[in-house]
Amino acid sequence: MFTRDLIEDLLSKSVEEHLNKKIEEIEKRDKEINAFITLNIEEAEKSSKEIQKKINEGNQGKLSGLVISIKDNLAVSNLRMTCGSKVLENYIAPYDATVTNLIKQEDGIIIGKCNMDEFACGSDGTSSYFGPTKNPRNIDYVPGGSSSGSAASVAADFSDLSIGSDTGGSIRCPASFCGVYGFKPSYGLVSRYGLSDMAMSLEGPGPFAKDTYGIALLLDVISGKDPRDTVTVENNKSYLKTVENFKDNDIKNMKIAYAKEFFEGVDEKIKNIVLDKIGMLESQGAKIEEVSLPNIKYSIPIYYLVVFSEFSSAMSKFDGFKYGHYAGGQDIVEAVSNTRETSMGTEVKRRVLLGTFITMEEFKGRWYTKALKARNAIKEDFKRIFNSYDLLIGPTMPTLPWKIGERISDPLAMYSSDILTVSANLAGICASSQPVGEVKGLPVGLQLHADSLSESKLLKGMRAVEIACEGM
Amino acid sequence: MVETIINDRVIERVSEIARLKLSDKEKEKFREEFERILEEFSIIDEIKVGEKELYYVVENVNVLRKDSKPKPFNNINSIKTNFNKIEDDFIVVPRNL
Repeated sequence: MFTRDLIEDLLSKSVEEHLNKKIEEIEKRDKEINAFITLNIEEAEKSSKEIQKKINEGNQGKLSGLVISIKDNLAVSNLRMTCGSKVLENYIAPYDATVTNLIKQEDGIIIGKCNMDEFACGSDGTSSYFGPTKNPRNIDYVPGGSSSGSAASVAADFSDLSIGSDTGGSIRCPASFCGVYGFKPSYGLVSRYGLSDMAMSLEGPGPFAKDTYGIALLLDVISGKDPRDTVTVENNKSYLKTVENFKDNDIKNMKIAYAKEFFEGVDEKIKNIVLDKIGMLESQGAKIEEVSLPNIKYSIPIYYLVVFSEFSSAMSKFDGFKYGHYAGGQDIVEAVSNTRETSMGTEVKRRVLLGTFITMEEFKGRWYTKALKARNAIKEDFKRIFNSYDLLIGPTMPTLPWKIGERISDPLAMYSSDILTVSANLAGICASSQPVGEVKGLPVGLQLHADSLSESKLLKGMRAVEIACEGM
Repeated sequence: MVETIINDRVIERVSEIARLKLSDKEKEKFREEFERILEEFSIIDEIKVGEKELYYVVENVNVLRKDSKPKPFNNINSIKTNFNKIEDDFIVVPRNL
C-alpha cells in the first residue's frame, strides 16, 4: 500500500528531504497547473524540523510528516483564506479550522492553500478568481471542481494528501477527473468549524489520497465530535484498522447494489469500465443485484434549489466592512451593493440572486419548500436500498473531463455534470471515488455509496475495488 | 411551464433584497437564464412528495453543551486586522440616515 510504505520511509529517512522534493515539484510545475493560491513554505519547513525531532524521539503523530494541502475555504491560522474569490482576496484567517487543528496535532505538514471554484460554486475548477486549475493528467482539460487544487495537488505529487469539501460532489468529481482517491464523509462525521459555508445542510470537509489507506488514515485524524459543530457525532476512529485488517475473502460477504438510473446518459466507455469492475467483484464472490432509484433524475433541481437558498443566506455576511474587498458608497445599502457587485463572479451572483428569488415569501412554496419535501423522498430511497445492501456502486461522473472553457457559459450544462454525485449529499450518506481505468489518458472514477455513518463498509468496498484493480 | 414570470420588476426587487447591484445588461442576462433554469427545474412537480420538509439529515439537533464557561477566543487583534476602516475600536461605515 502506497501511503503505508511512504510513512515507513519517512520514519527511516528524512522528513525535510521529503518536503523539499514536494517544494521542488511545486516550483517546477505549479505555474502551469495552478493548484495553489497561497503557499506556506516557511512554516512547512519549520514544522518539518520539529516533526523530524519527534520522529527521532519516537513520539510522532499519526501523519508523521506527510505533506498535506488544504482547500482555500478552510481556515489555517495566519494564512490568507480567499475561497477562490476577490471577495476575500486579502482575508487572513484568525484561527484554525477544526480539521486544520487536528492535522497539525497529528504532525501533518501544511504546504499551502488550494485553488477552488469561487466559493465552491462550480464543477470544473475554472471559476476561481485566481485562474483555472489545470488537470495534471492533461493540462488542456479541467481537473473537476470545486476542490480542483486539492485533487490536482495530489495527482501532481505536490502533496501526499489533501483536504477538500464536498457539497454536491466537490471532492468526488475532481478525484475522478484527476485519477486520485476522494472521500465524502457522512454529514456530521467531520467538523465544519472553520469551513466557509456554501450550503450548510449539505457539505463537509473530506480527504484526498493516492489510495484507500491514505483516505482511512486522514479520516481517522479529522473525524469525530467537535463541540464547535453541534451536528458532529462521536466515532471510534478505527478506519485505518478496518483497511489494514481487510482480507480478500471479505469480498464474499459484501452485498452490493447497482441502480440502472446511475448509468443512464453515462458515456459508454465509462459505463463499460465500471461494469467490468462490477463483474470482477462478482466473480470474487460479492453478491451483486440491480435495484431502482426512481427519484435520481430529480436530484439536480432538488439539490440546486436547496443550494441556491442556503448559499444566498450564507453570502449575506460579505458586506465589505468586517473583512474582504470593499468598494464604498454614499450609504450602507449602496456600499454593500457596490462591494458585492464589484467582487463576486458570475456564478456566485447567479446563485445569490436565484436563492433570494426562490425564498421570497410569494415564491417560497413553489420552489424552496417543494425542494425540501422532495429531498425527503431521495433520503427515503437510499434508506430502502441500505436496508438490504452494504453498498451502492456506479460511476462518479457521467462524462470524461472536458476541455478548459467548454462549459463556462452554460450553467445548466455545468449543473448537469453533478447528476451522479448530488444525491449522496441530499441524503447525508457517505460516498467515495477512486480511479479504475482511463480513456485516452483521461481517468475514470468509480463511485461507492454507503449508509450514513457506515464509513467502515465504504472503506472495505474501496479496498475491495482497489485490490480488484491491482496490476491494472 | 413556469408560472412564475420573472419580469424586470421582480429582478429589480431581487437585486435590491440581495444587496447586489446589477447593470441593465446583467439584469437581462440573468432574467433570461433564470426563466430557463426554473423552467427545467419545474420537473420536480412530478415527484410524489409527503408533507415532511427535510431541512437537516441528522437527528441530533439542539445538542446542548455542558453548563460551564467556554474558553473565550483571545486573538482579537487578528480579527481586527481584517477590518477595512477602523477608528479607535470601531468599524467605520457610511452614514445610514
